[in-house]
Order: sequence, then C-alpha cells, then structure tokens
Amino acid sequence: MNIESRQSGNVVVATLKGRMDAVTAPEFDSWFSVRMQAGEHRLVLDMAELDYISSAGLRSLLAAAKQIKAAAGAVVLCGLAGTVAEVFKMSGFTAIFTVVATPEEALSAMG
Amino acid sequence: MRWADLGLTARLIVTLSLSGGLIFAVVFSVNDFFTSGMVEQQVMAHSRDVVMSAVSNIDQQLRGVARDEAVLVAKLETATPLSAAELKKLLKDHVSVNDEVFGATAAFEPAYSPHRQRRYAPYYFKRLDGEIAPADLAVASYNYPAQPWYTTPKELHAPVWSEPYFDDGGGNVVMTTYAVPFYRNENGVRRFAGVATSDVSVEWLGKQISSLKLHRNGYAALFSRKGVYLSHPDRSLVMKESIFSVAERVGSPVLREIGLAIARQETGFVKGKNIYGRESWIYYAPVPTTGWSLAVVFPADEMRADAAKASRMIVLLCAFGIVLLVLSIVLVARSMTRPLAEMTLAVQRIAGGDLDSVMPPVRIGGEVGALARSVTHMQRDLKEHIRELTETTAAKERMAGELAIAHDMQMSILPHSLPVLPSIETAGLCIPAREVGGDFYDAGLQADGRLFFVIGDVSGKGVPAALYMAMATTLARSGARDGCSPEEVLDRINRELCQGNDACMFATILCGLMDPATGAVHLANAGHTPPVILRADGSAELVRLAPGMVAGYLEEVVYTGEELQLLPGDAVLLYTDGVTEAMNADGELFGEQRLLAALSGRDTEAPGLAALVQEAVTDFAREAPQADDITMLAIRYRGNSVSGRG
Repeated sequence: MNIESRQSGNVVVATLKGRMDAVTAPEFDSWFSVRMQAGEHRLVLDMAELDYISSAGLRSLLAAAKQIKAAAGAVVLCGLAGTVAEVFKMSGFTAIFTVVATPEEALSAMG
Repeated sequence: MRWADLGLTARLIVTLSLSGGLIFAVVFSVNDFFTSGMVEQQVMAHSRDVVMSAVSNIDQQLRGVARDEAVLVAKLETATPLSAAELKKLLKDHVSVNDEVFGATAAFEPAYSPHRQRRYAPYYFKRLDGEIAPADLAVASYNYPAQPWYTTPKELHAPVWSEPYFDDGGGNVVMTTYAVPFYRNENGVRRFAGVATSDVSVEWLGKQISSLKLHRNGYAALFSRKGVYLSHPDRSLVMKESIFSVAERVGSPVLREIGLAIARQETGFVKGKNIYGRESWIYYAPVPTTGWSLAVVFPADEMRADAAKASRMIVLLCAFGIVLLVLSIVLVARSMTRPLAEMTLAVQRIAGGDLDSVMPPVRIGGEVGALARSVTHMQRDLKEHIRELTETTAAKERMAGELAIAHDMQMSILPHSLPVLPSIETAGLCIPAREVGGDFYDAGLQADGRLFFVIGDVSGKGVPAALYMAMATTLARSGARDGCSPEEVLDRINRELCQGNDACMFATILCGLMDPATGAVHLANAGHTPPVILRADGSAELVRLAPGMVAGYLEEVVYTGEELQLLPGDAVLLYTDGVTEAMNADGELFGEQRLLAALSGRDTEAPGLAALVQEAVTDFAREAPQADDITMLAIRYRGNSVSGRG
C-alpha cells in the first residue's frame, strides 16, 4: 500500500492506494502515529484508489478514529468505491465514519 | 614444486636471499672495480717514488764522481804544466781519495805531454789488496789515442760516460769510465790537450738497487742506454744480455717497447709480462747523468693480493651476512607461521564443532596478532550466536508447542459435531490460515427445538484474534443457551466485547435461529458477509441483509433481526471473508461471483456444499498462500416430509 499526503490548511489529506490488509495495515498504523505525534489530528482519507480493505485494515481505521476522537480531532473518509465501499457498507462502518464522495466535500465537511 | 606451493618461510628465504645476494654482488663488484683501480694507482705512485728516489741517489753519486773529476781536470789545465811526478801524485791521490773510483788516467796529446812529443798516459788503479798500483797505458800494444774513451770526448768536446763494460783481469767487476777532455790555453786559444778518465765500478749500483724495498717479489733492474743489463737479480744477465735480446727470447713486445723507450730516455708505466712471463707492472725512468735507465717490476697478482684479500674478506662477510639473513628470516617467519599453524589447528577444531577449543596465546602483535584476535572474536561471537540460536530455537519450539496446543484448544472450542435433525442437515468447516485463527462457527438446538447457528470472523489473525474468538464463541453459546434471539445474542456479545477493547478488535458475526418445522429463519447480522441461498432449483444468490455494525466497537449499537424463508431443498451457506477474499497469485480475489458460480446448479448435501466451495477456492488460489481463515457453515432444509409432517 502507498500513502500520499498533502497539507490543506490545518488538515492533512492522505490518498491511500493499493491494498490495506493484515500485511500492509501496519504501514498505515506507523504513518498515522507519526501524524499524531506531529499534532496533526485532522485527517481526510481519500480511498478512491484503495483496491481492497480487509478486516485488519478496518481495525486500523477504527484504532485511528479512536485516537483522533481522544485528541479532539476529526477524520473524514471519501472516495469509497467498489469492494471497499461494499465492505464499509456491510460491516456498518459507514455508520461509524463520516463518509463523503470527494476530498473537497471532505474538507468542507471538516469545517 | 611450484612457487605457489611454497610456504611463507621458503618464499621469504628465496626472495630475500636472492635480493640480498644481488645487493652484495653489486656492492662487491663496485668495490672491486674501485679497489683495483686504486691498487694500480698506488703501485704506480709507489714505483715512481722508488725509481725517482733511486735515480736521484745514483745520479748524485755519479755527479760526485764527475765533480772530483772536474777538480782533477782543473789541476791538469793550470797554466804551468805539471811535471810527471806531480801528475802521478795527483792521479794516485785521486784514486785513493775517491772510494767509487777504481782507476784513473790522464792521457795526453803528444804535443802537450810532460814528455815532449811522446805519448803519455800514466794509470793508477786499486789492486785487490787495496794498494794503489801504477801502470802505463802508453805502450805500443795499446794505441790509446785511437781508443773510443779517448776519441769520443775529444770529438765531442764534452765529458762522456762510457757504456759499462766488464773489466776482465782488472777488478773483475762491471765498470764505466768517465772521460773528460782537458785543454791548454795557448796564446788565448783553447787547445785539446788530452783526456782524463775515472773508472768507476758499477757494482755498488747493483748493491744499492738490490737494497730497494720492492715488496716480496718485486725487483729492480738497471739498463745502459743501449738496453744492456747493468744490474738484475739474475746476475747471469748482467753485461751479457740486453732487454732487446731477452724480449726476443721470451717473445714479449712490451719488453721491446720498454727497450725503445729507454733508448729515448723516456719515463713510463706499463703493464705486461716480465721476463719470467709473470704479469707485472713496470715503471722505468732514466738516470740523467749517464743516460742509463732504472726499472722496477712488481708482479701484478702480488700487488692485487691485498685487494684480493680484502675482497675475500668481503665475500666471507657477505656469506656470513646472508647466513645471518636467512637465520633471521627463519626466526621471523617461524614467529609468524607458528601462531598461524596453531591458529589453523584451532580453527579446524572450531570448524569441527569444538567451540571451546582454546586458542593459542598470541605473543606477537601486527597482522598475525590482529588475525589471532579476530579468530578469538569470531570464536566468541560464534559461540554467542549459537547459544542465541539455541535459545531462539528453544523459544520457537516452545512457542510452536504452545501454538499447537492453542490450535488443538481452538479446534475443541469449535463444535465437535453438529446437531442432526430429520429436516435439517448442517455441516461446518474451519481452516485457519495460521496455527490459530479468528474465525468461529457453532450450531446447536435450543430448548424449544429450534436450531441456533452462528458464524463469526474476528478482525486480524493469530493469537489475538484467537483469544477474541474464544470470548465471542463463549458469549454466543451462553446467549443461545439462555434462549436469546439472534439480535439479543449480538447485543450481548457486542456489549461484552466493547469492555476494555483498547486494541480496537472487532468481530463480524452472523447468527440465526431456524425452525425445523417451517424452514423459517430469523437472522441478525453484525457486519458479516452476506450468506448464499441455494434454491432447490439450483439457483444461487446472496442474501442481502441490512448492514449491521461490527460487534465490539460501539457499545450503544442495537441489532435488528430479519426473516428468511427456506423451502424444502433450499440450503443456506454462511462463510467468512476468507472465502470471498481468497487471492490467487495474480492478486485477484475469489469474490462473490465465483462463490455463486461454484454453488449454482448443484444439488448437494450440506457437507458437499462446503467441500465444493473449498475445492473451488483451492483451485482458484493454487500455490498462493492462504491469507485468511476460511470458515463455512452450510445448512440444508430437507423439509418436513421426512419428519412426517407433510
């Protein structure tokens, strides 16, 4: 998996690419912990280019969401499609996360 | 033996000895070259000194004779002619006073003779007994005015030293005669009046010359102007041979050249064979007074002997030096190779597995010392590494053992056998990706006769998932035992799992209750994969249940139930995402479509359904490793015909 991130105001917009499974989820975990240590608690995760997410990937997202909540930050997901969108829907994750269509919408949703 | 096969010691000895020998050879050659040049210079200087000093000595003595003769002549030339008696006394005194003079005469022209108009030549000489005896040369048998000793000075108007001659009868010695013309003054005109002579023995010359210090086998020779031997260690040559005759006899051009140079009154230094055929250095120079020449001869080998001795000494020292060099090389090489050999043995022992093999003590530093220290380090590191490896292996084995036990325990958590009902057929299958997994399933009859079934998948894999799975299974069972509805079971599991779930683990669970009499199924879903319903006509489709939140994350979630009606012959397959997300080597997922395709058109018993899907997944994934746990639960409704209801 590949993570590309950019700063937009005080929000970090990260594009997740490839697969997010038991093997690659730790990459996201370490990337996320660096962001947290840098005090960047406001994230937009663009999943338009994410091909697959497994339960391990979902667990990483849950853990991240929990930490952000504790730090009084915010996380918005966008661009969910295909298998990933299905998994989100099926597992009820759409109820846990704020999910919008595009990064722009995500940024405006962050306020 | 090839060079490459030679040991360190042999290489060092060969290389250093060769280069050492070469250096010594060069030094020796250069030294020899300069030394022999120096020896030659020294011999030349020495022989020149000897010859010059001897020549000047001889010359001085001859000049003494000439001076005395001049005194005699002065008296003969006085204005008043001497009487015969005065003359005789004068001659007698001259002979007796001068040691070198053997005999003397004053031979007159008849015109100026004390005896008017008569030849007159009184002669005084030393007899063998030392007495001075008179004689008369003006005898008829000896026509003195015709003798060369008389005519030559007369003609030349100058004193003349005669060629030396052997005085037979007289002194039996080699003599030379110094003849000086004397004159009378007549009315202002100088007229030749006669010749005064002194016979001088050349014997003393021989003594003097043989007294010259000329090393061991060096010698001196005196030659007349014509090259006749006047003195030579070999007395048989004296007055009998000349340098030319000897040169002819021994065939030596060098000697002939010397003879010619002597005749020209030249000085020189030549190298060549002497009369005995021995290689020699010869220096010669003329005696100015008489025109004789003195030569000194030094045998070359003798002159070189000292230098040769020095050279031999140097060779000896060189040989000694090379021996010393070889010895030191052997010592140094030994001091290097012995530790190397000991180390080699030690390393072989180490390689043979004896890690406690004691390394030889290192007495020297440098590269060998560094090597020895490295080997000791290596031994220690190797020991440490093997110890760690042993520990790690033991730990791994222990862990593997524990995992094997955990696997057995997990398998025992899963149902050993599923309930058997006349109208319902159930079959379950669980293949963990690792030793232990996070998937679980169960099925059991409730008190009211309904079939409770559950399938779940814990996020992640391995031991954490297995622990979570054990909790979820236990909770599900207790819920079923307590007669809870599926949604109540999920609520209970969710609440319990949410307690202290810092790791954010969660589980997707699908559980349900089936009435064996009617085929009605009540389902509750916590984010699980949609089950497949396989109709009696062979069609297969997914049951799209309302998405429910995964269990274990949000405590406040409330689950709802859904109804599904199975007709006789229908079957439902519950599975975890290990089935649909099985991946092949190309990274493709097995997917729901392949799952449906694998089941479509099949009329199979419940165990056969699970086996069909497993086979299809294995075919699809081929050599790609199993990434996730694969679990399936198949329930087939036979209808109540068998139970006797219809």
